[in-house]
Amino acid sequence: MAGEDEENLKMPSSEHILQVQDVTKSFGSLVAVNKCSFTLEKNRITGLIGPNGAGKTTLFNLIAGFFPTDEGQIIFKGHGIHNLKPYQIAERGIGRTFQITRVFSKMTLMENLIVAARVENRDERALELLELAGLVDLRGEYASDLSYGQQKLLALIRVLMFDPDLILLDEPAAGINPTMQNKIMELIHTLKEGGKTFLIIEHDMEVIMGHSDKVVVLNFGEKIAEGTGEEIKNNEEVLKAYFGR
Amino acid sequence: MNGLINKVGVILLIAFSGMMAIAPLILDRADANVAYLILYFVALASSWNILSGFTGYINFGHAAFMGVGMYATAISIADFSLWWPLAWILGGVFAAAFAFILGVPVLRTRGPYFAITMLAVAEGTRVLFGTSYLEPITRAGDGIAFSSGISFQTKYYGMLITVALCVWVTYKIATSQFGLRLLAIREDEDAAESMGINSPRLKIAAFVISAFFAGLAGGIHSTFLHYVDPFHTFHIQFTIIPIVMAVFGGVGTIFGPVIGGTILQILNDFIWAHFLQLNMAVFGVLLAFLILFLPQGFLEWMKEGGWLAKTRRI
Repeated sequence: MAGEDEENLKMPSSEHILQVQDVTKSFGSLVAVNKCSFTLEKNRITGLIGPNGAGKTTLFNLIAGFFPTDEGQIIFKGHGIHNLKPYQIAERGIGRTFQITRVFSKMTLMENLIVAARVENRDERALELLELAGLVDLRGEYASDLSYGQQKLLALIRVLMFDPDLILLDEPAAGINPTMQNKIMELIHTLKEGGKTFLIIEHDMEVIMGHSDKVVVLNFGEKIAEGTGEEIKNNEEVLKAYFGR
Repeated sequence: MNGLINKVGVILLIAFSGMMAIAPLILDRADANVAYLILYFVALASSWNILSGFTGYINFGHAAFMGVGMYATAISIADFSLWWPLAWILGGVFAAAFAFILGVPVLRTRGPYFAITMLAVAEGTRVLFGTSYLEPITRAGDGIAFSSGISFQTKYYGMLITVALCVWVTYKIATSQFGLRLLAIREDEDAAESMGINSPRLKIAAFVISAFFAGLAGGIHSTFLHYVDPFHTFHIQFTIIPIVMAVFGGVGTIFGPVIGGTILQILNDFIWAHFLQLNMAVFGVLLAFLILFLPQGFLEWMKEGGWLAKTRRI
């Protein structure tokens, strides 16, 4: 571990915002995440990929505090967060979205945003974000009246209302049309320019390879590879996991 | 259209408030009693709504808080000759304290588990107040008969102020971020927590406020009845009827429980007068119909239909 840290420290202008260290989580006899370690660099987009059942969402739930870890540590901005509750982790600056959108359906768009606000001028901020997402005209409607793609956008901007430094996105572009996909990915890049860090689970390889600075690959709960998109594409282990060769 | 209906709503509200304010002065005692009971049930429905309407934690033990308030007031007047306004407030305070102590473990359960737990709490409280262990304090099954020496009008206006306060607090909650956060817990508690919403703390706050008003209303009502005993005080009808009223009007709204409470109490009075034996059965059928056809309640149905703005100010 120490060796790896030193190596990373040599990399210029990259500060670790999150360190996942030897994290293990089992459900009964099923080991969902097994001694998994990786780090996230500040102000980067990291893709998290792997076949179905690889443990990606479980890893998200561990980072966000939805389950306690069995073993290992999760360190965010220098502090262990693996014993904290979800709202405490959010308070420390980690936001997340869910695979299914989980917007507050019987609340208006505006209410969906201001409910989470920890910023000054919350109404102005909410309107600004709605504008950014192109949803400002719908601000008085219930979130249940939005299309699925619009709900995904809403879920993404909702996270921004409490201004987290690290944002975990669980399949932000899945199940929606390409125009909306582009819009969401554009928004993510805009936010990255603004200083945010992203960890993104995505099944669409083009999306992941085209937009990530780094990719982490999981299979059967273990990290099997880590690197740039190009490196991952040519990695033997990854090809074996995905195509069985 | 929206504007017109909103104006009609405001006029109806003012007319209703005015009528309730002068009711004991112009009605004979029997009709004034009906008006008093409307206020009592509106207070129960509206206070129930503060926790259950906003957070979706369906409290099937609201009668426990009302009952604790009744006992607190009755004992403080009967045994300690406390000045009645203080005795009323003490009813609310004891109920709130009970909710605070109870809330820490009980609000960890969710959904149907919370509902069943609260049902057990209300039953358990009833049994507890009837045991011989507590007889020196509660007189067990004999109950406490007492006289408060206050007039009907005083009790009536006490209940009216309680309702007004409860509705005002509900308004404050509904239009604040606190209220929005309670609604977020109702919509999706895990998602709410993932956004930094401290749901355990917020739920307990709502629980305590809800219990305070139930206890206050209970305390006033005990001076109306001049008598408390475990069976009548913790009777499940004081849980079920307010729930039906709040659901009928609209859970998580400000005026829903007021509308539901008023209409259904008038109806209830009618049912009592005409089908005495079947009164709970009629209510049960009504509840089934409500869940089938107006699951969100009257006000929410108006909002969905576009007749009312989707605002939390109603």
